[in-house]
Amino acid sequence: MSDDVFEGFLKQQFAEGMALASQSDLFELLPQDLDRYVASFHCKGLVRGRDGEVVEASEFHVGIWFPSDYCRHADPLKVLTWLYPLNVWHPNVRPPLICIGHIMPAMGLADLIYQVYEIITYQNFATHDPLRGEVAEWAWNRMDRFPVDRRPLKRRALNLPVKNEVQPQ
Amino acid sequence: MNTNPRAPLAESDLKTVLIAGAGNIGSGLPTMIGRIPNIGKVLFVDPQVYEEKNLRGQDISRSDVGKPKALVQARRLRRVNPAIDARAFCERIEDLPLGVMQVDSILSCVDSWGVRQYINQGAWHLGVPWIDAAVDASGLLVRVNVYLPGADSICAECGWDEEDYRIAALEQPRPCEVGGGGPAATNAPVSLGLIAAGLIATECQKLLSGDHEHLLAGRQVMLDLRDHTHFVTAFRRTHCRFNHEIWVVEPREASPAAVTLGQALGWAGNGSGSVEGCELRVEGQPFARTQFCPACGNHETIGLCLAHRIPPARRRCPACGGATVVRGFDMREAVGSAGLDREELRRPLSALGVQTGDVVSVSIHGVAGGKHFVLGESTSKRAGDRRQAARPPLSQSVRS
Repeated sequence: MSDDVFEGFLKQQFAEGMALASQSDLFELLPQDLDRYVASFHCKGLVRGRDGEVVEASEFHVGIWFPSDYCRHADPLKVLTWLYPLNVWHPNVRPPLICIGHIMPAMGLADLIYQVYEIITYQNFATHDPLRGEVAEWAWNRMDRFPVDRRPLKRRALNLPVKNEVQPQ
Repeated sequence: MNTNPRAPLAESDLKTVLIAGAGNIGSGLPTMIGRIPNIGKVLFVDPQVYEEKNLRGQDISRSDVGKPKALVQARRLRRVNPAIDARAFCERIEDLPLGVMQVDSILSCVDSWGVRQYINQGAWHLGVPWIDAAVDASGLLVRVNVYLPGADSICAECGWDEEDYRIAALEQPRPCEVGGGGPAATNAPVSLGLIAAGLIATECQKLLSGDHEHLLAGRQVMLDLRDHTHFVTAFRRTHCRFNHEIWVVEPREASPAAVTLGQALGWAGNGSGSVEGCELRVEGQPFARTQFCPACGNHETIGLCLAHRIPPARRRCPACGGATVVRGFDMREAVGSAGLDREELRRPLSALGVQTGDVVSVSIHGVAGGKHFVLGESTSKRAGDRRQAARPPLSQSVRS
């Protein structure tokens, strides 16, 4: 029961996912196995408190699983699981479901992480056909508030030109 | 061997075929399949019910509206040939135990790329030849392909490129549209469907009579009825994403209730009885140990079971009574001896949700290859085996 194509895919995803994590201050990748990860995001997103107020939060966990037929058939209900927090406030998230749209077979781990990040930070959200209609309506009336986090997921190198200024004699 | 063409065929010569889909193409098949001499048993699989809108594009009558498609076609086949044992499965083929597909040939009349992909995978693993047809109403195109599983043979996915996988993925419902998705309706006229059915029946007759010389194996015939031309295309196997594994599936007479998880794991070993390092999977059926309640966020430990076979009565949250789900992240495709306690090893497979006809695969962790077993009586067993056929059919199926 070996599948060289899939095993090669998993090793590549592990390498690319860990490389991305090492270049980001906004998420960590916790591998449980080569086919299963918890992506822990530290960016800004929204949750609804017990008092009903929608506030910012900065810790979000998503489970990612690559079933053995993932390179041929991607079932979004299996691949992505919203783990934490359960009071997340987003049109595309109703725990344990998170909708990033259609997932193409063999879509890479880094691509999935980018798309989840865009969902959490409201860089991307559904205004029609959402998982949670009431949140979509709420968001529709507050478009100026989004995205809630504009930072790039991947740390950017700061290349400032440095010149030696010679003091005039 | 029967040498007299007028004499009835011996039961052992009779073949079993499975017809997946009873729509535009599949509704035209019973009248043709029922007249192929060496077919003794036909299994119809379709989860849908005929609707008013199907009257235009499917070979049905008004009285069929409102009735399960598989059941209608099974009854129709019996009218054509009462000697054929016709059975109906009013379910998705993906939800049936894989052993149901252990037949002499599968005739695919589905309009979904995803289902076609599933049939290809199952047929290949079981070593079952399958014939696939499709129509394109806008171009007046009809095509048929024949696939014979073999080490170097062409499978349905060998010809797929990125675009084909994309189309298949778009059929898959997004979480935002659960209950939606699915393939777009073909809206094909019944004439196209009947031509496709005729092509399937012709290749099926060749296949079952052993005329492999003229069989369309690994190739495709496409009829362009607008311009009155036809094309024969041979496919090459280059970088297919499917592993093309053909399994040796050993039948085990014991029912899932009579085999414990520990015993089944032991089948992977060398006969010493040790289950150390062994793992077990049920094709297409992931395992789970916990359920989640979306309403209140409660996690419930439910014990090891197949995630899609949890009885409805147990899919209720003990805390709030809401409907529970198994999260994708909590599913496991295999269960290994290392993660099992003694009590779990003593549980019968039926208690996990394993059904008659399921294909159970066991292997030793880290060792390539494995063993495959089909449990109990498989409904699709050879048509001539009356001893098997006399047993009750699968509990979830409807027999015509």
